[in-house]
Amino acid sequence: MKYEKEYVTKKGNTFHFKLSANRLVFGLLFIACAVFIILDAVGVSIGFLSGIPAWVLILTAVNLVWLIDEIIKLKFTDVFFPIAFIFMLLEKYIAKWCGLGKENIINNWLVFLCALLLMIGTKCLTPKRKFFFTKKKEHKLSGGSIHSNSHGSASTVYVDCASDEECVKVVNELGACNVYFSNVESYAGNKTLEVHNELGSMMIHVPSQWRIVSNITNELGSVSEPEDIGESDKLLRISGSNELGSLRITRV
Amino acid sequence: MKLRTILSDGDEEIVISCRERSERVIFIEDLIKNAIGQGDSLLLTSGNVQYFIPIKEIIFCESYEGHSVCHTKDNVLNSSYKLFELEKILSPVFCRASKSTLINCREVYSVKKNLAGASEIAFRTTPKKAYLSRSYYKMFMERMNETRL
Repeated sequence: MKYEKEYVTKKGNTFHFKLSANRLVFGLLFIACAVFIILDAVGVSIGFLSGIPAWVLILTAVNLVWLIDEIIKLKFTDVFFPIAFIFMLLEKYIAKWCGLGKENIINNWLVFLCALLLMIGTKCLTPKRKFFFTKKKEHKLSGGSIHSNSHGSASTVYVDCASDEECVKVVNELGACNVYFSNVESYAGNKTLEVHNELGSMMIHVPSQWRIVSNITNELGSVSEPEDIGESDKLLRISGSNELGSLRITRV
Repeated sequence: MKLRTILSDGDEEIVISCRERSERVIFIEDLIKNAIGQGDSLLLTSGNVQYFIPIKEIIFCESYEGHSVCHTKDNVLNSSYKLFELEKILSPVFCRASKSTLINCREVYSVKKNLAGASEIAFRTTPKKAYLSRSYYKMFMERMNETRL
């Protein structure tokens, strides 16, 4: 989910404002944490959790999220550290709730060492798991074909201009990719090439008679485009993103 | 091996004098045939159009999804031949750079060596690039040296 808006100043400068759902949620969370800490410092009580400092609660919540994340990914060997940190944060209150006389049940370093040993021991005993949830970037396309190079090798993609596909997607991760256009005589002039280049090098060879309209978002990389040739019957739209890589569009 | 050029008024003729027709002699014959037969052309297609492209204008050939693609300076054309058939037709000037690429050694401008992966080949007359795999590097460079003075 994205929120986008374009602002135009009086001088004619254009600013694009983009806000994704992730950024919105995290932004609000950080602001809420700051408000929570201020309220606690001022002395405002927060129901049944009053008596516990706000920073302890925030850090406990962060560790809980970490613990749940590890459980969801079925990485049971990695749950000991978040449990240890939660224990260290709430040790005083746990001792109080259990009615133990002392505030320090176990030395923090011993807790840390136990967690480390448990993690190492369980990792040695359990085999390597391949099935766990990973948040992989999914490149969805409304239509057309997807060509992907994600092995860090050199590859070539030939876009068939005679095909009916209006959109062709090329994904290049950590490799070198050359994109060519074949059967150019059959080109009707309505194709869109969607490119996603991450940490790699991509070169798009466009016939010299084609007009190029590009809309490529560049993040910490380099994008090089040729000069506009003006009006032409054949139009090629190039869109996509370039992250930490090099993308070059050249005329042949 | 000596090289002599004798000026004469008669028809132009190239004579190779040798004790036996060794592999090296056959290679030189092929080189000369290629140099003489520069008018030879290859039938290539693009869409519904058939082109007769002189072999010297082909820069490199690649195999892609079961068929061969030949690159000229500013065009990409399809060939009905398989890559190994093209290698026999176009050799010795064309040499394998990888399992799926044949390069015209005469059009090579530079080879950017990469120890970790494929080396990058740049061409004289076009910004197109091809890649030379490590397993074919030595053979390719030997062929480059043989086709040059």
